[in-house]
Amino acid sequence: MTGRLTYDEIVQGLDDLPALPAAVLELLSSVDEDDVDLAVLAEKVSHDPALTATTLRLANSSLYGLLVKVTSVQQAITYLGFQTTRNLIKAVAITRCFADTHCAGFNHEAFWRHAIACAICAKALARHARFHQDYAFTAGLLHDIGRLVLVTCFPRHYEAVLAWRARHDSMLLEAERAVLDIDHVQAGLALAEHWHFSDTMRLAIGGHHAPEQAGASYLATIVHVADAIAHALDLARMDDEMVPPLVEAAWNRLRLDDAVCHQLFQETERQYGEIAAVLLP
Amino acid sequence: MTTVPRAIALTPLRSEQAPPDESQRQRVEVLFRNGPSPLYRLILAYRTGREPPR
Repeated sequence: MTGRLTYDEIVQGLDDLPALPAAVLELLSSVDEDDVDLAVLAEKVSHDPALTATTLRLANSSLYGLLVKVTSVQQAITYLGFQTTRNLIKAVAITRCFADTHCAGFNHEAFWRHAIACAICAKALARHARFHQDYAFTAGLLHDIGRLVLVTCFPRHYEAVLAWRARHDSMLLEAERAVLDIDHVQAGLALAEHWHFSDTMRLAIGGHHAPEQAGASYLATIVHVADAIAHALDLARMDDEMVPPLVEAAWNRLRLDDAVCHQLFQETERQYGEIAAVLLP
Repeated sequence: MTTVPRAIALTPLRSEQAPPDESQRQRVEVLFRNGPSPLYRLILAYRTGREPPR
């Protein structure tokens, strides 16, 4: 059955998602806190070899430019810091959590290609804006996570969304609202509640299409602009790619001149291949 | 919406190394078919190399 969805139906659908590892759930809820025991965290994460391996590959990538090769979570914490390491672990864990659901017209790989491009660009924008680069990377990676919730929990509904979008050549957001009466932003917020994301991540996910609204965070502004740039750089390689509307106030808030933008485009493209090779499921 | 040949519209740009030809410009037009954006001029310059960053 397809048709409209309510927020409550989405919340109920979340029970069908696989559970995250306990260590990752602990990390998700602790991003704004500093009371997590580092040794305990490293120990817990080390019990998941695939999670550890991918995290270490990312830690050793050009994103961080380390001069030494880290070979353990404990070492990553030493060289990258606790905040960065736990953000990496979270990012890796969440990208692995959503299996490919059959939903006609939905391209999982393209979804992640865009998310990774947005994450890299958000991190670079955060550096320019002297904001937390790790938060920006994670928020960029997760900004559209509600879309995966809809695809995974309500694949037939989302097929109708994709068909509407193809007929109207619209933004996906517009198609979601027209067909479901709810969108991936609300689905993302439901997931953020379900998995106890920090307030920082919730605000970024909730505000990435409306960074000018009252209560929206600076991180939402960064992700909003990074999202538009990632689409404009065409890194998802989608035939029907379209750059979403860019809120001018958000653009102006970041004070990006032409030279900075040029460097930003180059940096995003340069790092994209390497990071995609690590993170793509 | 900008009208361009379908073969060009459906050819995503791969990298900044792509040749600065008309197909690059047309693909940028397709990407920005949703409306004006402060990004348009910058991406067009980046893709075509015809307008160096100021």
